[in-house]
Amino acid sequence: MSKKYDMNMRDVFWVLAVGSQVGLSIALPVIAGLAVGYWIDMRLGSLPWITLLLTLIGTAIGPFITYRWVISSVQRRLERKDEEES
Amino acid sequence: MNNIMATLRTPKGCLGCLGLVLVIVALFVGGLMLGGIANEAYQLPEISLAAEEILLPFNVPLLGHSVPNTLPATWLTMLVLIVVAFFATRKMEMVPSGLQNVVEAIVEMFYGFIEGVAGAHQASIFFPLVATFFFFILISNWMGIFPGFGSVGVWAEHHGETVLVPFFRSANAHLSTTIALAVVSVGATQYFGFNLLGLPFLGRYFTFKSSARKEEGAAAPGGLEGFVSKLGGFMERIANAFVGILELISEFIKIMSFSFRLFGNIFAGEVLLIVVSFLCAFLASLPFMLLEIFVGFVQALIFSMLSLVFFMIATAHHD
Repeated sequence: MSKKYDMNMRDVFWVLAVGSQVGLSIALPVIAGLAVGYWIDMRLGSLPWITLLLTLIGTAIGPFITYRWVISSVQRRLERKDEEES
Repeated sequence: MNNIMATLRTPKGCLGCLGLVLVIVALFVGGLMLGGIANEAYQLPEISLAAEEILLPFNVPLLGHSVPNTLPATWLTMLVLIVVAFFATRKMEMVPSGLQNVVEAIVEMFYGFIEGVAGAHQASIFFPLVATFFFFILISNWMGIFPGFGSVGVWAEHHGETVLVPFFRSANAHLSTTIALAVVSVGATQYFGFNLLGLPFLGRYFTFKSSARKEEGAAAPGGLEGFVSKLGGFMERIANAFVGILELISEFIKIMSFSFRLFGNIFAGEVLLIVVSFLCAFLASLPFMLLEIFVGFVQALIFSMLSLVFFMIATAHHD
């Protein structure tokens, strides 16, 4: 028997918003790296190398940015809850 | 409710129910017969990722001879918002009635929602922009499922083929619209950050500080230990500078994620409705329209909600 918490729509949509942002902010740096790398490669004629490098960098920083963003937004949220309660 | 059930139990009610079910089935089957599944000669209408261009008989400064067909829809959205706002606030009364009452109830509900997330003080600062995002995106998303959107237009030559160019296309099914909205949102984040925090806001992006706190009264260690601790501090500064650059990159990623999410959801909805009503002429697209109403609302809420969260993070004091 699980306990019933009173849940309001604010929390529901907050989680929805954060969730949808998290998914995209992991994926988009990879695509951005790919696009910028391909563009530079087309300009310089060094096809696979800069594309590969920037895609890898994008893959690496995507989760990092996401982690930092989630930490700061959750922290902000908890601070707000504290202010509300006190 | 009991009344309805009792009516349905009478022979007349039963006959009515049966008739209704038959009509629905007949419409559905008729839709299938008329739709693209049964008729192989039919072709799926041209679906274009970019907004189609409407040719104009005259020249518009800065735009040239054509405008994208999301532009009329955007104007229509603005018109609806402005007209509603005008008539709702024309004769303001302490005890609201009519349209003023409806608009006040909606705005108050949304204000309460934002107040709950951001707090009373910040809500009053962020509310105008966030609510504008919400209502603009909501109205333009819901307009996209109006009859006439995407179906009424002119035939035009496009890449050697004759395709239908609709006069209206849901405003957010155009990447330029959503990018513009995202740029405004991210730009406003910077503006609010500067406005409320001042120059220290730049420290988010360009920083060379060590994040370690200085302990009061602790003697600086000398010798090898001091050297290692200074080296550690220096490395930390470099790491923080790197993190600041990442923050800067993430601002640009935010523009992309804002715009792609909105565009993707709304455009996918448009395509879904086109394909479903192509396959089955009547009735089958009804549940998908309900889905689109829901998706339009959720996307508007997510856009405004995320803008609000980013504003809050940008204006948070670091201490």
